[in-house]
Amino acid sequence: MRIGATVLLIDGQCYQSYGWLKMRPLGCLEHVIEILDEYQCDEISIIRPVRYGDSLVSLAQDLAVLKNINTMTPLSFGGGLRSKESLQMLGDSPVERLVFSSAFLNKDATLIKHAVDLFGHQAIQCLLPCKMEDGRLMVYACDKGEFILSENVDFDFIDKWANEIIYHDVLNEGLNNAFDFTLLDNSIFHHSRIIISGGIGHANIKIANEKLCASVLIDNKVLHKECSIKGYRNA
Amino acid sequence: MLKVCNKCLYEKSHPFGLSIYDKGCSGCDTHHEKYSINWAAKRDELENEIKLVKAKSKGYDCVVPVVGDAEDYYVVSKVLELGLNPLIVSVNDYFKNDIGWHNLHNLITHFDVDSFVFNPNINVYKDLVRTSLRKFDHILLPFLSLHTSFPVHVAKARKIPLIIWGQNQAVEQVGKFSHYDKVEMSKWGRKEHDLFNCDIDTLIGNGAQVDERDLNYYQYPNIDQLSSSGVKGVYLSNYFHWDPLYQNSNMTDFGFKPQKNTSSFDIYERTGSSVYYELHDLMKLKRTGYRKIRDHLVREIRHGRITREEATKLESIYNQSKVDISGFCRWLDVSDSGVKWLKLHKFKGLENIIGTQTECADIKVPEAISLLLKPSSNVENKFVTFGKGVHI
Repeated sequence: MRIGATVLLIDGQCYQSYGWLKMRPLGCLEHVIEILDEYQCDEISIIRPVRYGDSLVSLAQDLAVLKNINTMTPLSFGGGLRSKESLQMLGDSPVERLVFSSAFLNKDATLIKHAVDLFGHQAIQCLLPCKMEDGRLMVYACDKGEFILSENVDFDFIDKWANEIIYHDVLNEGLNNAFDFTLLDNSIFHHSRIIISGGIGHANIKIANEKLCASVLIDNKVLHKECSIKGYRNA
Repeated sequence: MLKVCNKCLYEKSHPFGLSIYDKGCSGCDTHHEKYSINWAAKRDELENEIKLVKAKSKGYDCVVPVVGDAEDYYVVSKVLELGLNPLIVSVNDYFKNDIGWHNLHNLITHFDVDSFVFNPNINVYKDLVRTSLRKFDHILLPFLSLHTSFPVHVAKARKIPLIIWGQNQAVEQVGKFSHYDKVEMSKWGRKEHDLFNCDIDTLIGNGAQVDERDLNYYQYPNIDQLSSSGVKGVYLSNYFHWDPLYQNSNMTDFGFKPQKNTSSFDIYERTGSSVYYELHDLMKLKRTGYRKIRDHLVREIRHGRITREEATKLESIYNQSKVDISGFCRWLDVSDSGVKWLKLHKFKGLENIIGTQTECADIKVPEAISLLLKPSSNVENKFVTFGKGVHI
């Protein structure tokens, strides 16, 4: 199982998110990636937490920061990839995988097919920011800025187009060992294609390992301790 | 988008970064945690950690890096209260005044602890200060590089498992992490916060006149080896309700000598430095747009001892206080024409603040603050290079 990290990117700076509500400033993206590289992180997911609309200008500013990154760690990038133009802008960035959320919820096959043509199917990840409410799975639709019932999500569409699916626990992000595994209870996806994220701690990693998940993405905790990845790998 | 916090005085452009919310900011929000945390349970967590450390350590249990100010007194008193056997490590920044040396020596003798004062090669150090001032408008980067790495080298070399720091500034000022995160010392945190993204390699660049062999202790140890050796650093502010002015005011009981300060009401923090509230403060203003007084006022707003309005007025008064750069220029062997050049180019726009410090006209601070201010002393000798009466 891969051990990765999630970093949020806003206006060229890194942030940490706590419980989907509060952002804390983290600092320079280049230095965060540099140290995660040194920690021997398996992958780094850089997400722009775009809610409601986005602009290509804002995306271009963040990509300019991303393009300066020198790393040996595979990077995933997502947030605001909602048009062919936005995909074209990724051309010379050091991005290995693409993370889509709204495009999957809106079943934008044209956009995703275009991404597959450019990057290959193996590079496509679907991010599902989700929570359990009254025993029902709710998924956050970033472009609408609201949670929708999972009944309104076409999981077959995701199954067809995404290589891996990221279940991100929005309620527990920033906490320790708090990932809610019931989010995966009715998942149609084989666990070997599932990445879990949000509130990941050592005990969660043990469970994810037993469930044969593809990867875990550690959110804020990854920078709280020196060489943290080594500790998570031995969980 | 809001650019200034409506509860404290910090702006979004704070050098550590800041998130601004509808009410308050990430710093105010994190400060608020202090009133809901079960601190007794936090102390228990630390004591459990300490049990593990004591089982591992063969000589000293921990390294405590100090500069000799009131916070260091508080940290050492807590370390001893926790039953640890510390090695006090201090790096000579060559900027201490007579009060600074008194406080450092008294800290060691009063608490009767073993100590190690490292005197870096002064010629290399001055070269680095010169470079740091020229390239980054900062005169403390060389010292900060040493202060945050030398104690780690000592811990690693002597197999001392724990390093105990006082406050985590990034948590206290901008709430970069929650207290619940129990963030530990790291190479990343050092570069990002302590060194403002400018480690020694960045500082010297590729045109340095410095022999790299002289820079070993300015660099952080290899983190793989460090983590294999089991050395880790913790911040006491994650385990105790951190209230600097209150806790520092009690340190006079241990013989700590507060220093009169014309640039802030705080007579405890970084006491004993010939540059901290002078040229360093001027450079901070140039780099960040505000002086140290704002950090102190924000802290007191959050502790409820001053209102935002009162703080705004006080900041504008303290912002007028004069900064004397002549002592530093003499220390760095800057020629008269060099001083003129500095004033013309480096300190352009700040000339009105450069001058001789004068006794402040009686600046009134709220009673909740003044009650915590003990009698303070005047500096008699600045730039006392070594603590034993040796000057170069």
